[in-house]
Amino acid sequence: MTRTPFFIRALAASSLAIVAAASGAAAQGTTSAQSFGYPVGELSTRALGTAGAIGEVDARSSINPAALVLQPQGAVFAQYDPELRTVTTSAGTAHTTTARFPNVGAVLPVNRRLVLGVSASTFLDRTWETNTSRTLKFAPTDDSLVTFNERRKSDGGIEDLRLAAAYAVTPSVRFGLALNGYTGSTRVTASELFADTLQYRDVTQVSDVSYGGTAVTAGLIVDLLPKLNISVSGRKGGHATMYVNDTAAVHGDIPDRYSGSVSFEGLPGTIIAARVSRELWSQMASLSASGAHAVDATDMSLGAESAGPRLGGFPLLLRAGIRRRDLPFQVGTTTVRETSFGGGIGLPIAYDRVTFDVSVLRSNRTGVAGVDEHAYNLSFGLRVRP
Amino acid sequence: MNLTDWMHRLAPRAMTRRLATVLPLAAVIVAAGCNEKLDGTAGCPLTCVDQSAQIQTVDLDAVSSAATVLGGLGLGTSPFMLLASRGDTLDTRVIIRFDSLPGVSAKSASDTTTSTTFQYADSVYLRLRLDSLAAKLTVPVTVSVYDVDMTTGDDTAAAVLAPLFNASRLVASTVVAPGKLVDSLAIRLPNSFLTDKAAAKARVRLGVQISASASASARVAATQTGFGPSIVLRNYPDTVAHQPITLLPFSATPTTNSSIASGLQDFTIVVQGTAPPAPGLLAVGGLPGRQAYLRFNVPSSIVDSALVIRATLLLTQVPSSSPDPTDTMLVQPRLVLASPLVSDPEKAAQVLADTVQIPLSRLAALRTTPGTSGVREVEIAPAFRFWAVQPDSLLPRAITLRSTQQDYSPQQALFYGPSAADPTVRPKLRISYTSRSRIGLP
Repeated sequence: MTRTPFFIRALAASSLAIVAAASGAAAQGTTSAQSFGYPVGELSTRALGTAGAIGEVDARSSINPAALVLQPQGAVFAQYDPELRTVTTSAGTAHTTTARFPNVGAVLPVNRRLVLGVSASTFLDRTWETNTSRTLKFAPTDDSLVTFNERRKSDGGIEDLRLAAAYAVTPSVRFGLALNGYTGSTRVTASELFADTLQYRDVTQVSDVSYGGTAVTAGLIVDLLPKLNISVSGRKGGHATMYVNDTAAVHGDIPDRYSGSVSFEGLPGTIIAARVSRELWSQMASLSASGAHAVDATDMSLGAESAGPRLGGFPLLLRAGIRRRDLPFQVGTTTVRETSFGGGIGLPIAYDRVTFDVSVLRSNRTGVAGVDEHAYNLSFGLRVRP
Repeated sequence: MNLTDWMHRLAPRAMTRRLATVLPLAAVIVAAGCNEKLDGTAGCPLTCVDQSAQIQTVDLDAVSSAATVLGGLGLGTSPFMLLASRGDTLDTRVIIRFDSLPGVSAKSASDTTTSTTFQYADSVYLRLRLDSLAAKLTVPVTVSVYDVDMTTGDDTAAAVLAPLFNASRLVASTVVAPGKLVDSLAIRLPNSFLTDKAAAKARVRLGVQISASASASARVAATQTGFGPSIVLRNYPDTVAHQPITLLPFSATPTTNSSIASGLQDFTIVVQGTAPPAPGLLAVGGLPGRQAYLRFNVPSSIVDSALVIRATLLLTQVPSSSPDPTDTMLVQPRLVLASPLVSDPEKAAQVLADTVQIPLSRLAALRTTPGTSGVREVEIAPAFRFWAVQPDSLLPRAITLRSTQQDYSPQQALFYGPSAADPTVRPKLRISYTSRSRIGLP
């Protein structure tokens, strides 16, 4: 038996530089899910039917806590929002479907003036997958480049857990306050996959990214006239922490938000609303581990909800709206703008104890040269009143 | 008149009810059809952030120790036995033990009543099953069967058994012409050979040898394959009422270890084997079968903290003078599971990962020809899967290299070891790895 010194006698006859050709692994693959992900909006199916215009006065949307007292009826609600997205570049077209369950909660009236609410809604959704072919020369003696697949996948997001209370100071003045806890996790999977498994070994790395943060939200809804009200709300973001595999990695802030809307109910059975929101996403940039470019974004929407044909004595609700907003996370240094329009219905069931809402929004996301992205945002919501 | 009234003029109530039924149903169907499909690669590279893994490749003089050890699990454990007569290069023979004979037979050819002792035998054949594809016969060969039963000395040692292959102990022989060898060979044995053994209460232990005017070799299937040697005979003359019986190999010794005795039912003895490797060289294969044991010292920064994509053991092969130098042989790397407490490489090389029980430990075999030279690449990346989860103090970073035809092929491949004078020909370990990193964080 021959024996050499126990330690390595010489390291690296050669420590080879990486010789990469073609493209490397990439992540996202969409303009809307950059960095921390796509801001779903925390809107109910009902509010989405008006493109978000009635979000300030909708008890099922986690926007303005004061809206809880507008209809002081107990209810539980949930919704399912698939997004059918198409991204077209010179490299081809990707059709993706993302399934989300972005909003679930309950409205709990204490009396006619005080209403409590709890909800869990998706704040940012970071779900995507890319598969990129890469070629590499592994050794100087190799005759050819080795082609392998780099898969990157992210699944999850940040949730907003809200505990809210609303109080009707007078019949025309309502005030609301909410405590928001931001939590959730994203599982990021990075894999190098080889066709030749005899020579090469597939490797996969999984990072579990979780979040913790807080915020406070306050809102006010005032009837200026019997059929005209204004509502304003604001969220003050607190500190947030991003954990990677249970280790605190980065500290930052939950972004502040200020928004307001005007609602007109002068037409019988109809509400027409306009809403403007400003969200200071740039405050969230410090939470990024990869140096995300986040910009403050404005969200404007106009929409209406109206009672349609009656069904079992209760009106079928018809909705429509249009919306324009900036998305918070840039592609490189380019801001993405989203324009949406669409509508929806609200179907009363079981003597209006159950409401089944459906909405469809067509969204176009522009701003990045060479990329055409559009999506159908579907939403199916259910509200049940005991 | 409000909007509701207008709507009812446009849409009758019956239509509204139908709508109310169809709409939720359609919504459920659409929702159910939304299977998640996330691959958005076509959006890259314009919408993507480059998140390629950083892959590095290093060459390490990582073989900390190496040795050539005799391989195998002991006599009689290989699936084939080699009958070879290759001049002064190789001489191997086969021993088959039939230590148990039938207890009954007819009393004689004329008296067909049953005797309680074995005293009648007819049509006695020794049947060998052969690997006809591996036979190397260019001239007629003589297959001889000898009585190699003996009572003194080591009854498994070639030095003791070889002298018993002499004319006074010759039992039978047959000549096989090239091209006539099929997958079975029956050698007629004298009827009295068995009955005389039974009468003397002796054991039937046969030695098989081939001889020819030129090099010749053939592989005999061992009992381990289920198609091992046998003796076929008739113990009754009545061919209608009594079928031929088959005697299977059985070894009554050693009496203290039935497992070893089981292996010794049939085995090969190497009278003239392949030459051992010169100092500084590692040998794989040959007869008796040798294997190379290599232990590595890989930096923990790679084993513990990186993900190994490819690990190649670079061996510089030396031309071998073993038989069949231009035929292909497969060198099979195996993961060693013996703990460092097993300090003898020969013993450690017997405690290997079972690739059937642990498929992930399977390493790809190296295909080479013994007579050639050059750098050979042995892929051992799967071993790092095990090394990453066990410290060196529990699981040494060690492998063996052995021929896939260990103990029944004379082919022997030679490689430079870590003590070779020329450092450029010593074994090296080339590792391509990527460091554990937080790829894909927002």
